[in-house]
Amino acid sequence: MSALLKTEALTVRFGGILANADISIGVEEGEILGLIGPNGAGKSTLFNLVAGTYRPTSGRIRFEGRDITRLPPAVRCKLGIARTFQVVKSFETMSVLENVVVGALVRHVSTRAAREEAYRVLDVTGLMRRAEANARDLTPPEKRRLEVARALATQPKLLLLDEVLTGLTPAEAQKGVELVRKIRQLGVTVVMVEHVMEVVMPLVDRAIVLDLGRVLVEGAPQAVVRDPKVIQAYLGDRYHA
Amino acid sequence: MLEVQSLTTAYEGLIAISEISISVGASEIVAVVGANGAGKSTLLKTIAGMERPASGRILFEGVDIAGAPTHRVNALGIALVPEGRRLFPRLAVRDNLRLGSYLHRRKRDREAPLDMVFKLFPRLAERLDQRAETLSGGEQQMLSIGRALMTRPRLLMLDEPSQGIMPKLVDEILDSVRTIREAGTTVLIVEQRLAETLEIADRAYVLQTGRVVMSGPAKEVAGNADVRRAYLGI
Repeated sequence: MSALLKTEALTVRFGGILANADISIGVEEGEILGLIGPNGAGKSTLFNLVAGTYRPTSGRIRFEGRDITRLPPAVRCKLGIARTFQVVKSFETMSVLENVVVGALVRHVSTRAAREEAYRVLDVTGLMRRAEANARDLTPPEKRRLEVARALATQPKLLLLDEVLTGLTPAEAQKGVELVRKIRQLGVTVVMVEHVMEVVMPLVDRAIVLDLGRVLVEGAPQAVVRDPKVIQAYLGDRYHA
Repeated sequence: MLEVQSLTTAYEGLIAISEISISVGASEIVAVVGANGAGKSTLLKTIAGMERPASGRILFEGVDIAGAPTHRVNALGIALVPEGRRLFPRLAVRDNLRLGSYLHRRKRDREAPLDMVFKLFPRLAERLDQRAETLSGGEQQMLSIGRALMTRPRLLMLDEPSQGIMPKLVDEILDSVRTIREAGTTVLIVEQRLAETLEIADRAYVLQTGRVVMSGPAKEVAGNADVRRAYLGI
């Protein structure tokens, strides 16, 4: 395995606040990496830096060894980085199929080829029988799937999932877990921000915990949640088990 | 003072809180704790009128305010210090505070709470002309609390005031919550950091994925080993 993505001392400051401070992490090809931490820890900021929505104040981001720090989001997508949004951003008045075709057009010039790709993705994500439905008529779990499908249609090497399992019933969340595993089997590396620990911990190979904009701990998921530093970050500095 | 009965709120069908019942007595500090995504913010936003509940009742001093618009809820005496502080970043500290009091008609009423705010957070008095965005995270939180106090609330609701703030300032902010209560304001505080919050609270409710899984005197909740499971799944 080699590092697909690397961040080097990534720092971003918003006014008086250090949202990310000196973050150096690597994402190995083929892994599922969990990004966890209390609210306000800087998880979404890190996602936005990697996807290109924000520019860092200092530091670098490398993707397959190439410096992408200054590249706009669309170029990063073309290079193979796709993301989902916590609040789904589907095209509401378009059909499910059309939504996914938009993603596929990143790789295909002809709409026919894009449509074929879109059908493949709909099959993987379990949305085939909803292909002709309007995006806005989907159930909430289906909307989450569509969000994943749109990203997947861009044929990413690295997929960033922002809370795709949050707010689902345990049964729905379990289906989401299976989908993430399937995506990894397709050769896609996954980084996911997720809150529901019982769901996410068995799924990820490795977890990185952020707190106050910095990397607090990284390691195997079961070790990480038992780390006293992590327990204190979640439950308070004066928490004693 | 506040009686939340079987409150359910959903976002486009995703249930965020489910049949939550809590009560807050006058002059109490009540804490609602739980991990990310447990529904704590949704609970406060629904009380504040920023989200409409799917079902349930919210009685404030006997009046059902469920679904009432935010400005009305605020005029009745409830103020929210929102998650992430939500200041006006380009406006000066002074103007951010002023915006908290604009519902009051008389100038005297608008300016009266300023003294208390400055006594509580002397740093704000020193930085009146500074833009809000140039403050540190802790100072921004103080300003957000100050702005809420400018509405002269009887019930102050705080949504994760410790978020993104250095441990030393967390204590300072939680101390101020105690002072606010001593000045006669009831407090409902939502927090992730359980240990520090339960030191200042009288009673606590623990939320896990949208439901109340535990409640009781703060000391009992703090000592309960099941709380960690609700947070970290271990």
